[in-house]
Amino acid sequence: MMRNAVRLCAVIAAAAVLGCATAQSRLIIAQSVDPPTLNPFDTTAPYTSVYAQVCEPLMFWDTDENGGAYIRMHLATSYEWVDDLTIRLKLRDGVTFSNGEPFDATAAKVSLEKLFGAFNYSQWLEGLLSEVRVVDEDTVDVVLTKSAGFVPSVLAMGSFQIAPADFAARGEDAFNQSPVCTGPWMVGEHVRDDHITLRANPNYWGGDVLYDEIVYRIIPDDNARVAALEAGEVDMAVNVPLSAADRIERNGALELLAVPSLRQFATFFDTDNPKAVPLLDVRVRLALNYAVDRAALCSQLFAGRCTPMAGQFLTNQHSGFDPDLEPYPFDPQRARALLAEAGYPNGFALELTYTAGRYPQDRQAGEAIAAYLRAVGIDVTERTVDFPEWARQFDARPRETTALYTVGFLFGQDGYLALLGYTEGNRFRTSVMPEGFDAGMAGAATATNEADRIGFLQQAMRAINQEPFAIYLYALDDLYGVRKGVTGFKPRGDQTIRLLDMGVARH
Amino acid sequence: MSQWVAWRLVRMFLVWIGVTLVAFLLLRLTGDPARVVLGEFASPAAMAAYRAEQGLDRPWPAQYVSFVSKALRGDLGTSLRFREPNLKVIVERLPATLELALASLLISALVGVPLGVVTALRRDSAFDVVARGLVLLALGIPNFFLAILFVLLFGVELGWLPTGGRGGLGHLVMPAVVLSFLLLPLTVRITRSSVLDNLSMDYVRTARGKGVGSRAIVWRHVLRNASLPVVTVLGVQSALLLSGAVVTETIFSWPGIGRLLVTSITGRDFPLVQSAILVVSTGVVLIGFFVDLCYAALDPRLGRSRG
Amino acid sequence: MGVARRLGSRRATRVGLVFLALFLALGVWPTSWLPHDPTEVNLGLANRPGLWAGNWSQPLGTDFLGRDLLSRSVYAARLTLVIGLGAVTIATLVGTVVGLLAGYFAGWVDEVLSWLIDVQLAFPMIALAVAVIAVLGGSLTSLIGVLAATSWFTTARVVRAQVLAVKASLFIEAAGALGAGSVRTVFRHILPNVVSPILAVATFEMARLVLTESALSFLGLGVSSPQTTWGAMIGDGRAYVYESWWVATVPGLLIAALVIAFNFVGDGLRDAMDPTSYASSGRTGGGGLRSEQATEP
Repeated sequence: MMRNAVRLCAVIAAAAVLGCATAQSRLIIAQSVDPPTLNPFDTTAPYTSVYAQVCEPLMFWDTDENGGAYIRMHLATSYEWVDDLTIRLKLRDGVTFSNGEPFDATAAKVSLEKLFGAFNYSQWLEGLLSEVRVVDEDTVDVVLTKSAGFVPSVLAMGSFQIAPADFAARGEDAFNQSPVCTGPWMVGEHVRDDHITLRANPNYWGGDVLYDEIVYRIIPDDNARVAALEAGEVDMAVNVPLSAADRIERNGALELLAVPSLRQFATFFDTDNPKAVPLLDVRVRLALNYAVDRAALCSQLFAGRCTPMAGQFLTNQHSGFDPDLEPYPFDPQRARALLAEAGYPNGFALELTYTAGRYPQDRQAGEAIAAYLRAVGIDVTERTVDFPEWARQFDARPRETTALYTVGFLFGQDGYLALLGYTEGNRFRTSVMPEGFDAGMAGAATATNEADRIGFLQQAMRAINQEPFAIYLYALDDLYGVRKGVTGFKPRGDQTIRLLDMGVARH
Repeated sequence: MSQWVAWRLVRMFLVWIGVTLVAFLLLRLTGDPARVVLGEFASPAAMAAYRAEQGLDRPWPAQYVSFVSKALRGDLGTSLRFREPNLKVIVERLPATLELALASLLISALVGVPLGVVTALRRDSAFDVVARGLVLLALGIPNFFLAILFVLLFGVELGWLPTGGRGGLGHLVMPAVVLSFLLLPLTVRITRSSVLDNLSMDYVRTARGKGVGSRAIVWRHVLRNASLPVVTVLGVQSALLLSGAVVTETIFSWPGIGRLLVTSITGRDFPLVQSAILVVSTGVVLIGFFVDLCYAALDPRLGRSRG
Repeated sequence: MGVARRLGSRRATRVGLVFLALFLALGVWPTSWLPHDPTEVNLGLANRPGLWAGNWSQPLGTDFLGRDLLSRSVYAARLTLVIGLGAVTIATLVGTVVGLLAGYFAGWVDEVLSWLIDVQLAFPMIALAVAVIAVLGGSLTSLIGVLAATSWFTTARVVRAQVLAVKASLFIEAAGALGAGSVRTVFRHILPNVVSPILAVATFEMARLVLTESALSFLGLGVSSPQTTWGAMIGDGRAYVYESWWVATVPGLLIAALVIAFNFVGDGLRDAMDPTSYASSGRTGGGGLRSEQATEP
């Protein structure tokens, strides 16, 4: 009774806050990390959610009604391959930067050159740009040094446009803190580890936006972030922990939004590791895939907000996913039989590394996977490290990581980009990548026709299904808690937020 | 006296050298900022270029010497993640850190000292036992557990206080109370034992013999003498709060230095970590210095035995 | 001994000692005598409540992987105590040696050792813990090492102050005049006088280090599975505080009881000791009284 009264009070209080918020048309978002800089060419995924409201790309990845990924045009109105090395981009007319600078081909050239020189896209774009040629005021040609069909996919991830004169005048340090771009909002105030305030751009080319002000509150602790949402202090919470999902769904004032993530989890086989000799045998690699009960992990540990990987290292949200492949069944007997066939009837010893606190329930999942592997006779030693340390061990030569490691990678919607790291000469390459994979990837690299690219990628997927290079685990749902009354928010699989999609009142 | 102060300053400098050296060596063990800063999409060539640009490819003694020589000139370098001067990034957090530390110190003193005095004067009474039991319970509950419960109760269920963030007085209440649970037990314990010590001392017996009332003895002599160790310990402890409130800062989204230190280490922002450690250790040393100074002034018996 | 008799005379101390004995019994309890395998994962049984919901099979409930919390709590006791006792033992040994050397030899030895103590004191403990454990992982040795590193100087300061006080008293001068060697002087005359404060500091430190270990687990810096400690168990359960409160509460209560028990014993030890000697060590820069640091890591 008392409890209900208290709940009622909380609801009334929340409603009061709600009323306030709409009157000032302010949206408050709780997120866990504070972007150190707001430079689009200088930051990685979780930070995009802030600067993507300020800076706009030429094109971006979006999903259609069926959840399929496609490239949607934005500041560019179209792109086409003029020849195998040249992409022609038509730019939108009548767009200005928030400081009044015109957005034209000269401005686009500056931003595109920055993108091709950016450190954080270098794995894909390094050495690829021959020149950006201004054709006329509304047209630029991106000329490549070699044929690369995936470049539009990268443009859809990072072709943000910045005001060139402003950048030149204020310098990079000032730009990092408050970029001037074409977007619907502008950077207002940034109090580190506390909040960032964005103000509406009164001259936005696309019309009047829904919110005069967007406040990002930085709340690092999962429980605290949900608590702030429940208390009505924020309108939206990102990275809602699974343990709070039911609670939010039961709360009449809140709504839980879920979207399958593009982050794919796998326990990788580092076959370059001298201790990983048994993993060189494909039967052992298959056995480990049969040993793990993905369905149980998804339904129990992740409360069903999770999709088991379908026997390949792409999700159905990626281009290049092969819908004909199925998840490996959970079959410990078969796993033991395969291990015995490969000459390990009593298993063998392996070390497994996983992160603690980087991904949702990563520690719990690591413990559960270790338990599954033990159940088929493998003597697993578990290690937890923080992610930067893992990356250091991985990049060290000779490599210092353990033979098995569980991580989740988010490399965007394009299947080719997600898998590029496993091709010859790249960072995640191991000695057990099958020939069919290399052939498929080589075909996908140069093809500029989308259907051909997908065909090649599916060929690669079939190859790694026959000869797995990892225990393909699952993709999780990303959870967002939203106050009822906040409408139009559409969560995205790449964990970025695009508030513009919530609606615009046209002029 | 001036010689003593000068010697303390020299020692302070030596402590700085030691602290920065340890920080430096420790950080070089934790790997490579390039991958963390540039992200998963970066190529080996881009990482090498970045290391060269930041001077991270030089041998560490050279890096250390350049860090120290710049620091001596007041230049703490630039943060890798924030791309801003380290000193600016750190100084931004100081008000929040000091606010929280002072508030929790104040609560500890205002609650702990009277509690310590009363439990000492009524030693072994029911009040003494219950109060000390409660204080120990406060000590025994892990801090983050308490913090989460507070947020759920006062922030969500009752809605009396904001769940986190920094703002007005309301925002300060929960983090300060939770943090004071660390110092409160210590305050009670020290106050109690030093009042007890003083009660058993000769001068109290003498005063009693002279017929001075016991209330007057307590107020005039015992409390004044007993305050010395309390002030000392609280002074030193407050210095440790400068970086020691990470858990409280995390749960209550408090933008303090402890959290900055942890995120900087996990982000491998070497220059910022070094600078933050330098600033924090300076604070600790300075407070220790002032406490000793006060002590030497208050208590001539101490002399210079601690050097 | 007088100290032992006075120690046993206090009720709180006796309660503390009984609890410690209980915890030690849990620590050496054979894992084969537990109702369930403490590391056995059964996702179908995840987050079940215990006796209070009529579950007799897992009286304290289960955690997020369906592991039995009763078995797990007993299993975790061993490592909790090993880490705490290991760290305290190392810290006490190092601290005692450093304190004895600094106090006895004075001069430049004292200066160098005091410098070391000051550096350790000024160095943010959290930075040390995060950096070391991030790299080495949450292994038993790295945890014990980190915890010991945050503790040894407390003992060192107390011992040093105590040695100075003992040295100043007459009988050492007399021993020196009789020609006793320095090693002999240390062992015969100084060490016996510092044993009680060392023990008192060690019990307080033990309580503090158990809490510190749990806070490190909160930051994801605890031991690696399948090993676990009470601190790590609370860390595991904190995400489920709202729905499955028992996962964090069971180990939380155990830690609170352990900390209180150690403090009772520490209090008793200190009260049983010569109060003036302890007070004097407290006065020199707050050495003795600084035994419990407010470093939430």
